[in-house]
Amino acid sequence: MTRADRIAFVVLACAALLATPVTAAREHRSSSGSDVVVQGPDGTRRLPLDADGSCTVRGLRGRVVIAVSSGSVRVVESSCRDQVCVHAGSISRPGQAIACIPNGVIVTVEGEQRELDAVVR
Amino acid sequence: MSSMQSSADTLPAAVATRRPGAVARTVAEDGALLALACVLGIVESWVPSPVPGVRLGLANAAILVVLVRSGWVRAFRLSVARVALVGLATGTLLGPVCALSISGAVASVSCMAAARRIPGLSVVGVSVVGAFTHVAAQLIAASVLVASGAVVALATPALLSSLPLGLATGAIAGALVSRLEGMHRRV
Repeated sequence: MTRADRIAFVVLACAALLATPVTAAREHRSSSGSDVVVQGPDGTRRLPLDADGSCTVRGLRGRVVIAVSSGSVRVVESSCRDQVCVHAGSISRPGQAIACIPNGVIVTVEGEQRELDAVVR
Repeated sequence: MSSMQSSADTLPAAVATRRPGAVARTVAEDGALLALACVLGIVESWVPSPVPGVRLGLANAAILVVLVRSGWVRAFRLSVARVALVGLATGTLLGPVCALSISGAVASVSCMAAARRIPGLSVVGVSVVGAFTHVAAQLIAASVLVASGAVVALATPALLSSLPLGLATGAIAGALVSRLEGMHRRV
């Protein structure tokens, strides 16, 4: 291993160490916060995912209560019979959705960063 | 008829370089190293890896030997042929995995050819540069294909692990080069 080899090794090691922080910082700046989109019989509402809060939507069979807390959203209460939407739990990643079919209400998370469900090779 | 026969016989000797055996030797050697690179690439694809994308890069040793002995044009050709053959053998040809391999292979051969011109850089140093640029190009291609933050999180561990692996392949390639030189002196 010559002197030039060592210099190249050290330079590349530094570049490798900087790779993740630099690109992550750039990505962070460009990405915007995700939104919660609530579609119901009365229309569509948008809520920011990073602010806690709740909203009540009038569905086909009664009211549906949706709560946003610490970056995730869930259906707290619904007037439907099977309560599938309540049991669906909370969602947070862009592309995920909760649907209450009897009430005609769909809650989806929208954002710029789409994540893959799975990778098959 | 006999005159045509004789002219056909003398033609290859005129086309070939001054040493008639040199072309045949280069073709045979490149063929053997292409076969070696393909086998190493295929065997490597069977080895499970703890981190996705981190592999030994043994096939790069064969490409590096060609780069040192026969120049970058042959190394480039061999590298592309290797990616195509390994893709055909593992069934990933023209798939997303193949896009990653081809971008890595092209980037590493180009950068190794450039690094070869830096005075003082030995085979080991060139190999480290090749391994690093191979991983870097694959990461860039992956981030274009996947568009996810996971690739960014993988950047530092993958690039860091490429350095010792580049050292190892460089040492193997260096040993191969000196062995081949010794063999040629004996023949």
